[in-house]
Amino acid sequence: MRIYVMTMARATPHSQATDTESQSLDWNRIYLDLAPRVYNYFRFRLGQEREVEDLTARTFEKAWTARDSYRRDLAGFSTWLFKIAQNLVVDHFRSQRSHLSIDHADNLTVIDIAEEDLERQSDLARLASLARELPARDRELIALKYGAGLSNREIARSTGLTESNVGSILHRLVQNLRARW
Amino acid sequence: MNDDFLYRIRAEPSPRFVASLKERLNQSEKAPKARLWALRRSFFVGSLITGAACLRRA
Repeated sequence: MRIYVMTMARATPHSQATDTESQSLDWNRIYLDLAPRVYNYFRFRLGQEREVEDLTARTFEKAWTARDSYRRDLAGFSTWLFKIAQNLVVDHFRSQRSHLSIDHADNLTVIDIAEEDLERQSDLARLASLARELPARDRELIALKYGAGLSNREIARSTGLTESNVGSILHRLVQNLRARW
Repeated sequence: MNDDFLYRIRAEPSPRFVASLKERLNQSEKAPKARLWALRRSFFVGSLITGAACLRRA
C-alpha cells in the first residue's frame, strides 16, 4: 500500500513507502482538482450559491487540520474529504432548519449573480425544486455524482451502497429528472 | 444515459476564492511551525538560565 505524508507545498512518500520522489502526490494539484468538486458538491446539495464558499473552505480547513491522521492514496483522500463535506452538510441543514423555511431559502438564491451565470443559476434552482421531492439519499447521490464528480465506485464506498446499486439508482433518478426538466 | 443537463449545472469557483483559501491553508501550515520554534527557543533560553544558576551555586 502506498503511504504518503502530505504538505501544502508538496506531498512526499512516508518513510515506509517504496515509491520514489517523482511519484509523490502533489498537494497543490490535489487542491486544484478537489476544490471545484467540493464547491460543486455543496452547490448541488444546497441548491443555491449562498454559503457554498464558506462550507468549501471549512471542509478544506478541517481536512488540513486533520491531515496527519490521513495516510493513503489519492482516491482514498477524496473519499475522506467528501465524508467531511457530507458531515458539514448534515450540520448545515440541522442548523438551518431552526432558522429558515424552504420558501425563504428559495428567495435567497438570486442574490449576487453575474449575468453570464444566470442560466446556470436557473438550472440549479430548477434542480433544487425538482430534487426537493426526492428522498435525502437520492439528493446526496446526485450531488456526489454530478457535483463532486465521483465515480459510482467512490460513491458506493462513501455511502455504503453497492456499486451496481448506485448505478441503477442514479439511472432511475436521471430518467426521472430528465422527464420533468 | 443522457445526463448532460446535470453536468451543465456545474460551475467553477471564483479564482479569487480558490486563491484566498489556498493562502489560508498555507498560513495555517506555517503557524504551528512558528509556534514550535518559539517553544524550542523558550526551552533553550530556560535551559541556559537554569544551567547558569546551577554553575553559580557550585
